[in-house]
Amino acid sequence: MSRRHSDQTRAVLAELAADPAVDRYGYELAKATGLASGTLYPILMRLEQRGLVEARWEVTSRPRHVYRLTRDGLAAAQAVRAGAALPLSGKQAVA
Amino acid sequence: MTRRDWLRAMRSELDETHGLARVAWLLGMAWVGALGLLAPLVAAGVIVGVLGGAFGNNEVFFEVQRSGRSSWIGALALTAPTALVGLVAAGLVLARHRAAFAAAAAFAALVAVSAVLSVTNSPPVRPFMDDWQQVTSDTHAADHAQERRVNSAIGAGFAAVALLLVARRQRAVR
Repeated sequence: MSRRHSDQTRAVLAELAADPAVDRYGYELAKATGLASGTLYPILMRLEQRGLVEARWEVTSRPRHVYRLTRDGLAAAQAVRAGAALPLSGKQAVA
Repeated sequence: MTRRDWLRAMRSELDETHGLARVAWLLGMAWVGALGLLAPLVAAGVIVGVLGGAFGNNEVFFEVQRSGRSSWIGALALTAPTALVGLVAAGLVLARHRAAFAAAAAFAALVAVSAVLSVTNSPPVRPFMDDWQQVTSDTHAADHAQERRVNSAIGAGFAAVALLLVARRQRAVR
């Protein structure tokens, strides 16, 4: 089972997939994708709930939230790049 | 992560922004916060609307029932299931239950049927409203009967569509 996603979601996945080993900040993602924060964060929330993005706090003197693709997220980003529909996470696929 | 966690995450990025970008970022935070309130507000609105509609229209039913006519039974058979399904659907949306979308869809379907019958003044609405106009002491009963039919249909239609949309959104992010 698969789900078509918006151009904005595809842009976020593509940006995160540009260097999947690197943690990315929200503001950095907003600048790179050109998305407003009110658009970007609901997308990040959905991707995190679907298990495609991992979000955690970076423990520094000024804590910030960082994001990176999970294994499923990387597969989804590659599928998007190949022009396929975005696959659902395993949990959703069996639901 | 809760919505509050996400708002904290957005707040942690705020220091990166300046000028108009800061204003835009703050607006984004307000939007993300408001999105979290949308479903509860719509569900609460449906509950208030259903209960308010029942309270506002019960005298109409009682007037017809006290006159000894039976047309109120058909009207009640149409409206009561719709109201009950609406309350259940709103409760499921509030609880973020996985059956919320199905319940909201059922509510929307019942409202659509009721709205068509009301606006077109078809049975069981027409005999009920005709009876009410004959037995009521309301001197403007004809106008008020039409207002009740049309306004109820419009209000219920908006409520059902709004509930269906927020339930669909809940399902999409599940």
